[in-house]
Formats: sequence, C-alpha cells, structure tokens
Amino acid sequence: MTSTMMRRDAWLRRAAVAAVYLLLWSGLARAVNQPLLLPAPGAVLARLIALLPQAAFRASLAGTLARTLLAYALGAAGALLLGLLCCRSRIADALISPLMGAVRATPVSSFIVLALVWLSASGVPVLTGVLMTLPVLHGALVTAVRGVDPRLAEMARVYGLSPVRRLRHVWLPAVRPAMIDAGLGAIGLCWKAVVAAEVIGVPARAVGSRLYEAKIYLETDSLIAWTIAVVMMSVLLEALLRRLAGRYAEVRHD
Amino acid sequence: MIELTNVSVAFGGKRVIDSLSLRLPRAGMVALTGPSGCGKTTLLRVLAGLHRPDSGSIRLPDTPVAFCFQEDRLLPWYTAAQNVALAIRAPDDRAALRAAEGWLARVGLEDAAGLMPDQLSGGMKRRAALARALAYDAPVLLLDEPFRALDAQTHADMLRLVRACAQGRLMVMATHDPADAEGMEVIRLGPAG
Repeated sequence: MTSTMMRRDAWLRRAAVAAVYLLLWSGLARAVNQPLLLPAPGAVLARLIALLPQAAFRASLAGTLARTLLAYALGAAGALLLGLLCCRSRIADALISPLMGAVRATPVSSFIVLALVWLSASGVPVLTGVLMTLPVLHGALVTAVRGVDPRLAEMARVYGLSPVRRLRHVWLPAVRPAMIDAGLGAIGLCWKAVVAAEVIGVPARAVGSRLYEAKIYLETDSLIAWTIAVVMMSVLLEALLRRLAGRYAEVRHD
Repeated sequence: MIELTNVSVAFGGKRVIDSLSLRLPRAGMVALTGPSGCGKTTLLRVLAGLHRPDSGSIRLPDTPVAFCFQEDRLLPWYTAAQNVALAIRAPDDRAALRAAEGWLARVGLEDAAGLMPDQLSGGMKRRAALARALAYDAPVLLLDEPFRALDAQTHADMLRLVRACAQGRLMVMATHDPADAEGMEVIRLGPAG
C-alpha cells in the first residue's frame, strides 16, 4: 500500500469517526429537545459560521493565541534555565525540584484565583500558562539530561570535543526526542490553562471571556461554537509545532 | 613519558590495582595482558586520566589521548562516518567526513560509512570504534580489547593496521590473546593488578 493510499485511508477513518459522533450528538439533541441544554450540530455550525467573519472573533482568537505563545515561551525559557541549574547543582536541585513538584500538583484554579489578586486580568492567563508549562518542561529536561549515557559524554571529552561541540553532538541529540514529546504535550496544557484563566479573569480580546459571556447569556450554541474554535486552534498550533519539531529532528549534524 | 609509582585502585573495598609502578616510553607498543577483572581497563582509564588512583603518584603527558573503549561508544544518532568524523580535526565538517570515510575503508567498512550504529553488526561497530581511535591525531593510543567480536582474518588485518598506526606513538593495548602481544612490551597484570 502506498503512502498516499495509507493517508487517504487514515482520513477516511477519521471522517467516519467524526460522522458517528455527529450522528450521536444530533440524536441526543433531538431526544433532549432543549437547545438551551444541548443545541443541534447544525445550530452550532450556523453560529460558528456567523462568528467567523466578525473582527471580534479574530481579535479574541489572536489575543488568546498571543497569551498562550508568550506563556509557553516564558515557561520554556524558565524550564531551560532552572533545569540546567538543577542538573549542574545538587543544592539548586534540592531547592527547585520540590517547588516544581508542588506547582505541578496545585490545581490550576488555585493559581488563577491567586494570580487575580496579584495581576491584571490580562496577566493572569499568561502566569497560569507559565505555571502549567514550566514544571512539565523542567521535569522532562532534568530527566532527559540525567538519562544521557555518561559513557558517551566521556567519549566526547576524550576525543577533545569542545563544550559547544559536545552540546551539539551529544547532549542536544540525546535529549531531543524527550523534549519534543514534552514540548508538544505542554503546548496543549498551556492552551487549556490560558483559556481557563481567561474564563475567570475575563480580560479583553480573549476566547475565555467570550466563553464566559456565552455562559452568562445562556447562549449554549455560542459556547459550543467558541469551544470548537478553540479546539481547532489548539490542534492547528500543535500540528504546526509537530511539523517544526519533525523538521528539527531531521537535521543531521555532519 | 608516562610514569606510575605505587598506584592502587580499589572498587568497593576490593583492590583492582595494587601498588603498581611502571614507566612507559614516548613511543612504542605495550600489551596489557592478564585474566578478566585483573585491572586492564582500569589501568587504561588511569593512563587516559579518566580515573584518579586511590593512592600513589602518576605523571601523564599533557597531550590528547585516543581511546578505543571496551564498549564501542558510538553515538546512536550519527552514521559510522559521522562518528569517526567527530574525532578528526579538519578545516570543515565535509573534510572531516571525507577523512572519516577513508579511515572506515582502512578497517574494511567502506560500504558501511552511511549506516547507523544499530545497522552495524558487533564486529562492524568494533571496527568503527577502532577507526575513530586511529583517526584521532594523538601521541598516545589506548586500545581496550580492540579485536573483540572479530573473525580470525579481520582480527589479523586489524592487528596489522594497529601496528602500522602505532609507529611513532605510544600504543597500549589490553588483550586476552597472547598472539596480539608478539613483538610488544608485555605488562602482565595479576588477579589484583
């Protein structure tokens, strides 16, 4: 079977699964017969189509995307800095790792409520996203670095590779697969945390704020339409990162 | 000149090398022999400056050392040629890769230059690791059982190559095969170094 045929089959399978769930949803909506509780797929689609050309829709998606990317970048930078510190110093590890564990175990709503006390409505989602991303990437980095075969690192030292070449040829390729996996997982987590914080903080130009408004005005079709939009954005963002990561993984250092 | 005086190394309270003293010249071929666990690998690691003895004094030259480790230690994400190229000082990566392919040809792996380590057999990995050590421009060459997993003919070919490459350098080789040590200065380590 050619790769084109396999791809076509995969798409057909996905379309069939989507059709099954749409039918289920449609049947359930008909059975409930209360659009306020569960609107039909057609009504939600009509609402989504109505939202698409609106400037406010694009501004909300752009605002949430910007906050997510900022939170992700800050979380990744912090994870890199703290992770390397933990790998180099036992004292730093003893201080930082339990803190990361505590952050990881704390419910996201606790952070959001605390952040509302400290920050503006727009800053809350960013801080929440950072706090969701940071411990995941930190843990993955520390585990990956500690998992590098010390015999390979020793070999590179014996053969006179400079620290920069050791990083390029030994350390980065060794930690790359784990970091790509963790990075892709963390972006979804960050996206969800940012939207959740926006629902509570209600900043301007935010998908979460639109979700909150839809809930307040009992516009269930809008609520689901916004949710579909945010899921599609999240999937697109993850696919984009996966593509970038795939391209990076293909780079060979010769 | 390498000089060890009353050097001892212990692991978990067990002495692997016990008050060993030796002087090695700037150039020449030395074979380390002895039963398994007698400290051959440990002594090579001491000579490479990778293991600090528990006691005794040691004088090592301040020069690079080429080390064919007991394990192959090939980077699994690079091809055989890229692994060898890492040890070669060249104006650029391309030149290093070309030189690496030359070294792989000398160990009989001209057709395996583009293969990843997991595509190589045990003997091919061994030769790739040996090629990397021989390609590294260092006055001291340390080889830890370099012919393990090789058939008799390849073993003989590699021994000839190692002898040729050792000219003008100090080569210390750990081996279980007395035939490898022919014509070399032999240091026989006992059960405790």
